[in-house]
Amino acid sequence: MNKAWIWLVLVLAVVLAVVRLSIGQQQPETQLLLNCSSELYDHQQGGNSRQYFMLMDVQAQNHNVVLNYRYFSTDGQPLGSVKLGGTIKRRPAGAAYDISITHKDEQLLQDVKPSHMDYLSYISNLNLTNKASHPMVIEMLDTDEQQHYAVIRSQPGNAVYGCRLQD
Amino acid sequence: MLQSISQPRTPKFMLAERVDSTPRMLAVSVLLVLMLALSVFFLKHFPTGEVAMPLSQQNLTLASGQQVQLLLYANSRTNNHILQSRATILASALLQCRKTVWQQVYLSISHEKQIMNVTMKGSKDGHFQLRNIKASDVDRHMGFFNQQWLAGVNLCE
Repeated sequence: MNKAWIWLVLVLAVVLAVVRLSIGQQQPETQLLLNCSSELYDHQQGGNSRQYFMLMDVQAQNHNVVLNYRYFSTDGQPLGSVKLGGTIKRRPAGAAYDISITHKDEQLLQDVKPSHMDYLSYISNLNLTNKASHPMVIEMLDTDEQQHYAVIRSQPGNAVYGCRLQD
Repeated sequence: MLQSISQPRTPKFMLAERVDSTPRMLAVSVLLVLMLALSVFFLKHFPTGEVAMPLSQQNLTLASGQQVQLLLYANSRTNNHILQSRATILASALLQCRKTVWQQVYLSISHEKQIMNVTMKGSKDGHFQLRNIKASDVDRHMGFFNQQWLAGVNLCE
């Protein structure tokens, strides 16, 4: 009678170990490369409108991530950039990434600042100053590896991007 | 008769090992702890319902018979009237396209109602196409987001 219990416990322990091991193999280190480009339109007081262009790249390797936002005028002049660096962790279901930004590098090359840059700069500053870390989430809404694209949503900001997905 | 009820009866057929229940209790506890660990493990590794669902989605049929899917993304189910009203404008602007390269259109708005995001996905002559538009508004009402403005940014192309 006692022996049966011991065997059952042992079998359960082995099952647990096997499942743990197979999951470890299923989830390789995070690797994500996204290139997203967007048109920006700023509407100011008095009905004035300005147009800019933005390139946003996500580079994730293992646990490190860099998000680089670069801003341009419509004729291709660089206006400035915001580079966010930190750590990334893929959620177990695989459809989202939790990011913790710990440092940033901001450059303003011209007098004009697109409001997207202003917003990004403000919100990351707020968290980096108060909490030393700026949390972000990237959700994969639609991924097609054959066509090399991904539609993602980034938080904070609830921003949807259509991006080129690199292997 | 009364005596026989009040007095606990000693079972006649009792196995010797049952008398000392400590090893059995230990085995049961270990088993329970293992089962608990297993459940926690599975719950942590296989969570369900993690994929972000759109707030709503609708299929638009253009005059040419072409189908365009419009998907709205929000953070909560409530307080989305600006998003909903802009979606109506976007849908009618898309319906005015004679033909379009876009098959799917995503619409979302930032928490502070400051930035409006439009992402469009489709194909042109067999080539995959993507277009992102991010528009901001200082007064946060997205009043600029109308038919005229959408025509100005060549929404159909």
